[in-house]
Amino acid sequence: MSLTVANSVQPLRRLAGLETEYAIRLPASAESSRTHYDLYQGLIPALHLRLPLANAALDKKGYFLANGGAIWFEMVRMSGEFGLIEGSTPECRGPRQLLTYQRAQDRLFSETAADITHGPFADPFTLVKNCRDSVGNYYGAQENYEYPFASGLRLALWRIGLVLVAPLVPLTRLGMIALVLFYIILLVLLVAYVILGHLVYLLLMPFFRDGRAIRWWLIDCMMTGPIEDWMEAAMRFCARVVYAPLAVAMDLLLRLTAFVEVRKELTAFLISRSIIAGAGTLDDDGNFHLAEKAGGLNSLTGFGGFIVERPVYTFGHFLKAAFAEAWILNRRYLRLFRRRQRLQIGLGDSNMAQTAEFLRVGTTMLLLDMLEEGALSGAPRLRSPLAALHAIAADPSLKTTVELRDGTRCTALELQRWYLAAARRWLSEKPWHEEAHEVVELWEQTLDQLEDDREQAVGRIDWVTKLYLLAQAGADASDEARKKIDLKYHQLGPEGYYAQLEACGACAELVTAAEIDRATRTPPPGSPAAVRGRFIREYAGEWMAVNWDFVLLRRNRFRNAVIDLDYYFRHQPREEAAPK
Amino acid sequence: MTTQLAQDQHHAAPSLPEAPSIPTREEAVRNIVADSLRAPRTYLDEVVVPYGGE
Repeated sequence: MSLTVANSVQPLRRLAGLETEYAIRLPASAESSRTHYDLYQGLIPALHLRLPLANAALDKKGYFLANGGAIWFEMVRMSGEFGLIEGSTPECRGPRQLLTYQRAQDRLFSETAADITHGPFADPFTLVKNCRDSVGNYYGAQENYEYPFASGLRLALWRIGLVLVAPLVPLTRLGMIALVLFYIILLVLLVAYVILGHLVYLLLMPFFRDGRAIRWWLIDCMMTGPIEDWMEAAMRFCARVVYAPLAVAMDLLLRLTAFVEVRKELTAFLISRSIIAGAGTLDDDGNFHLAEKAGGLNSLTGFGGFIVERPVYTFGHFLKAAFAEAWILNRRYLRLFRRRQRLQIGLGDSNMAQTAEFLRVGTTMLLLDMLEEGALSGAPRLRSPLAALHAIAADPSLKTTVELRDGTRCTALELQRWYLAAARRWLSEKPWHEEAHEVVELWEQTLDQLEDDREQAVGRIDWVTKLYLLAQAGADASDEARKKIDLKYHQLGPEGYYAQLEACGACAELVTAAEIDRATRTPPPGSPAAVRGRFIREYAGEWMAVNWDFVLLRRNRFRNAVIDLDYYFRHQPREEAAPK
Repeated sequence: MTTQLAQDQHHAAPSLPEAPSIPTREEAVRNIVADSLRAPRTYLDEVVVPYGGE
């Protein structure tokens, strides 16, 4: 067997998934005492009425759905006052399947949120699928692709590093336990202080004409916002100090070994991808940018939020694997030794336009296929990727040039065309693959439209569509009205601006309503998600816990059965097996 | 007779609700622009995610 055949990669077959953070919009007229966490709590039982759910066994609060996906509350503050609804699609194969499941998730969550009428937290609300709020806070989308972590010496170095780092995992855990004990002691002292404060206040009150200052120091300071903020910041800081040795060691190891070829060959593609997949946004000065999230990215690699980094390539899940629940600690850590891992990309907007979303994941998958096969090399390399990203995103005329390492300059369109030509060459040497050719055709058509006749891309590319709406509003529109267009474009449900355009047939639709409807209920075939979804449906009503790798079922009072989804997927099922 | 019957049936038959008309792209854009002018500040205040996300 020749080496070429052994390395041959079938296009668009790798597992991929999308994570989307939805902003919660509660109308100003609604009851103001509801926190975002309250609204999430109201959403879950309403969702449960539509399809079976199972508790998530991961390091954050959430549920897995019978269609294989998941819903989380992304807690920004410990109080739960503010947060985001986060959805994860099931693991899919191919951009069309992924697009279908992303639309199914959008529809399932938004329709359920708009229809909450029962329960203690029965407040209907709307979701906004964007990446930047009205005051410039960033959140949004992450892409995940199954890809070889490394090969050869780098893979060996990674595995040796994992062995050397392993002792830090229990030490960090012990440190966290000590920290929690310290918090408990602190809490007891605070409660004692408040009780004592009340007593002292009652004793001292007769001696002061105006007791407000003394009351603040004795009682109120423990119950007001600034002190809560201060305490929370201190707790976060202490936790990060405890994590730090493990995090620094993992960061160093990951920088040296993780997805090095991807970072070398695909960074210029991802940086310039904003021109086809950017959602568009108005900055604080009212200037239009191609991509919402681009302005917030400040590093190429990082854990994503551990300090203040917001990276293009996110490695946070590798660090989280060390902090999983005890019952899967060893299993998740051991899985880090595997060659194929999750490549997470943090650079990318939440798309409303189906074409943009299809292209965002389709082009990326195709290039990853080429790279894995060894058919993508010598790609343009940017001298300063982050500066290039910000420059490209800030120029809707697409004329900005960015500097390459060889000293030449080129536009984002030229970068995209380089990758497009490489993909065309590669596909021409493969057996015909319908979906891969569809990706390439649509990619070329879109680049042509952006270059020659941009109005053709309205309803297909988000930033072009948004810019068109802003142009229709006219130069006289106030900054606030323009910003409303920027935001409400992303509102899910019939009142959202993109949804209104879609309803009148102005937007290209690549997947049908029937396909989306089916995906709200059933998992994608040919994916471990099919096994997960089947277990959730079969054991609905019984105690179970689920994550991306395992299903935990209660065997008896003292023992649980752990089902390895990957093993089950590869060895046992017939109906969930990947289609050839 | 047949004509009379047909007329009776015509009067007795419940009238079907008219299907909602689908606006053209131009109408949809006009509606969007008009809506954007309605209390934009209130809308902006409703879409705030303090501290952001990932």
